[in-house]
Amino acid sequence: MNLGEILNFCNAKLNKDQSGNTFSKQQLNAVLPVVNLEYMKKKIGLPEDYQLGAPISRQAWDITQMITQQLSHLKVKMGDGETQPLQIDQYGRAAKPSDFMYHSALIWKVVDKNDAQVPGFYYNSIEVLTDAEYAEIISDAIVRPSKKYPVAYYIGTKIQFAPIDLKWAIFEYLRKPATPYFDCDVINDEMFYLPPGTTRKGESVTASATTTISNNTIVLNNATTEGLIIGSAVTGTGIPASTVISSLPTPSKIVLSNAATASGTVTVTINSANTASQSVELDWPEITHPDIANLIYVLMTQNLKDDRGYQQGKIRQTTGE
Amino acid sequence: MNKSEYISLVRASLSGGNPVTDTKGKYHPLRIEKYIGEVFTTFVRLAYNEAEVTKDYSVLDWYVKQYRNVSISYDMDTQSYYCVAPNTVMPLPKLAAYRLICPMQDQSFAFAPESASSEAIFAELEVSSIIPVPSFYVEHNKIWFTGKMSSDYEKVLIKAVTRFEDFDDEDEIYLPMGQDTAFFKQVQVLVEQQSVTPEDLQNNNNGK
Repeated sequence: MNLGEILNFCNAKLNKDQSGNTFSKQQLNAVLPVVNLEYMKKKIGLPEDYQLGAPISRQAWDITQMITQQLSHLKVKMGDGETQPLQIDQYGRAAKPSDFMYHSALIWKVVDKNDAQVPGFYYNSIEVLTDAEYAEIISDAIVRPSKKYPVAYYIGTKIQFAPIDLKWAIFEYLRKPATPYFDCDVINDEMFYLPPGTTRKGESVTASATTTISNNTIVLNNATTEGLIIGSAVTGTGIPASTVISSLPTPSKIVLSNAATASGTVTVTINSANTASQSVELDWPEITHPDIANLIYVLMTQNLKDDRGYQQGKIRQTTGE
Repeated sequence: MNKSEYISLVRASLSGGNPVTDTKGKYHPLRIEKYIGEVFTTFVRLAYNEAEVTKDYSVLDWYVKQYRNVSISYDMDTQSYYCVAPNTVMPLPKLAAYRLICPMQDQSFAFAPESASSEAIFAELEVSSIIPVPSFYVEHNKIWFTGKMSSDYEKVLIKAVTRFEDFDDEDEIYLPMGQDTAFFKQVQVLVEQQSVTPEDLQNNNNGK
């Protein structure tokens, strides 16, 4: 299901789209990142599910093959031959990858020699400890960290290893799923979803703006940049031909691809036709899309006076059907 | 089975399948090695008892490890030769754990075991002047040489019954035939005793 189909599903279930749309594009794009992370949180293990003395969630990473498969596309392996392993500095610290979301495994390659002094190697897992456990184990007479049995713990943006001279480790983790974004054409106040790779039919808007000669930035006088699309064509007095929007730094400023040739207050026309869709689809397997659609549905129903839809959505979250 | 396989088997049986990294907190391979070592010692002692009855001490040779080129030192104070004993040799009675101490390249020239206090008696006996082999006795982690010991012997070969911990990961470990199951049960009982007392008294979301 693409995001347009999911929105249609929610609207149909809610039966509240007589006026056009239950959710605006802006509302939906405010909800999507939250839903995306909420779903991730649920799949890697809700701490809210823990019972006293039993920190186990109903759903958790690798707890069943079902969950493993649903999240396997988010798994990153550093050091699989094609990718670099996790580099550990001279202080035994390694930077967490920027897209890191959840730990899966740390593996260390133990190089050893047999009685005949022939070098060989085997792999061993690196145990991840809490601070308190590390404080104990570091001085333990039997299981203190060694190159054969190294340990690690998370601290800030880094992973600290012991012993410190491991140099590298194989690291498997779950990355953050891509943030979904719903882009659409708005024609006669109706939203038409633009899947990734498509271009918009576009619409033309006019606004009063102040231009400054030889400056790429124009300032909107009585409007905001909300809804404007980067790449849209801009025309008007003092604006060179083939000028498009380069960026939208503030709600009132537009940075153009060309500098204005005159200063003053002008009427600009902004046409988003043929600009590329900015949609980003859900970074989840299709089997999970109904669950994510339900999460969106639950958030939608929270806006409504009648809470029957909300109750149904919550029941669906629990039963999964 | 080699040593690594023994440890792996115990971990797997205690973890109810493939152990995950977190179980190291409870069933760390090094701790399991110690537990296996304790039971292994018991079983070797049983083998020794059997040898005492049958007078066939070769049964102990299954548990022997060789320590080669062990350097001999000279203690100026006591004017005695000694070497540092492998610290994992089992303290079996009658120095039975030391199956052989000899010059590196002459295994037919076995040094004779004796107790520390018997040296005074042996020195008075004619036999000590007739037999050309040096004697040895053990004190804690040192092997002291007496009798016909001289500076001619710089390094010795020691074959000794050693503890489980001193075997290499790939070394084959032999158990008395037919006692494998009893061995594993004893290890499991020892390890599972760990969890009789709740380990974690703090509500810190840590299941270990």
